[in-house]
Amino acid sequence: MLGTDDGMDMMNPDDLARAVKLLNGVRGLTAWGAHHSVGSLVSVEFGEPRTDDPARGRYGLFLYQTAWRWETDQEILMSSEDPPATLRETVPRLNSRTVTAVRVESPSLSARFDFDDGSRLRTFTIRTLAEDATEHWMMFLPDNRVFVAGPGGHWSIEAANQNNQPEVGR
Amino acid sequence: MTGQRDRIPSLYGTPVRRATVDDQNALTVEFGGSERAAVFTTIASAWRWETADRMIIASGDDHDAVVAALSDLPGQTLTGVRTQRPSAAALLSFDDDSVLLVFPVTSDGSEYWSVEFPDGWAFTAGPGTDAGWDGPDPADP
Repeated sequence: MLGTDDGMDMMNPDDLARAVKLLNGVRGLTAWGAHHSVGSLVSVEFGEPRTDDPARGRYGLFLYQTAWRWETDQEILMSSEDPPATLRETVPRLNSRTVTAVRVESPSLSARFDFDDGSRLRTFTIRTLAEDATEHWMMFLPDNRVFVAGPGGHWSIEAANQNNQPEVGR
Repeated sequence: MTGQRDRIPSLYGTPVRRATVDDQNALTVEFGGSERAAVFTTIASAWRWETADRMIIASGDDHDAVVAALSDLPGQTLTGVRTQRPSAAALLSFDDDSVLLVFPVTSDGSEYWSVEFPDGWAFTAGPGTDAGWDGPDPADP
């Protein structure tokens, strides 16, 4: 689905700024359940477990068809094309870090998530074609909606459902 | 080593003469006029070519679409190269205000990208936070 409710226009940079404000509701919340599944797919929960689904947090980040890297000012901690064994071991180290800011670039929708230890998780959009129908990343919101970055330069805020929920780490 | 410092800035003002990808969409950009001045190559990096308001093409796109889009890169003139620490992510800017963004995607010991010159000198970014110049192989005639 392309488009948003709330009357937001996905091609309007001002509205993307409004959407990013929604995403920044995750500021001050701590990561848990960070999980690598297959390929470079990663999910991370933030905030208290939901009463209706305790395996998920108030917010949930899902890195899907995007390149990404976790780094500090001094070193690269992990990257999306690292070997699966490395990702399985390193992704859970995101847990217990608190988000301090979320930024989203236009037109790529590449994102940067800053943490309280000075590290940051950056995504890098690698699929530009809207007809690919491939999302880059998603952020699940507390009100059962999800911000979807992609396909291409499109973004949307839509109802969260079983089709767009990632597998969560147990 | 220090003597090589100005070699990449010396390419500013040089046009792209050829841009190609392999079957994995690893990118090679040749700079120069009638003669090749340098070759930029992505290794373990994703890349994206974009303007301020539009993504043109990227490494994860369909190969045929990438090949078609890159046909517009030759003729663009390089106006700057910036790199970011610690990742060695790079940004190449062109005179039409488009930029080529290069994003390293491994931390397992791979090199990320390089710029090679016809005299055998090459700048290589990666692995990790390593980056530097290598001279011509003395074994090469």
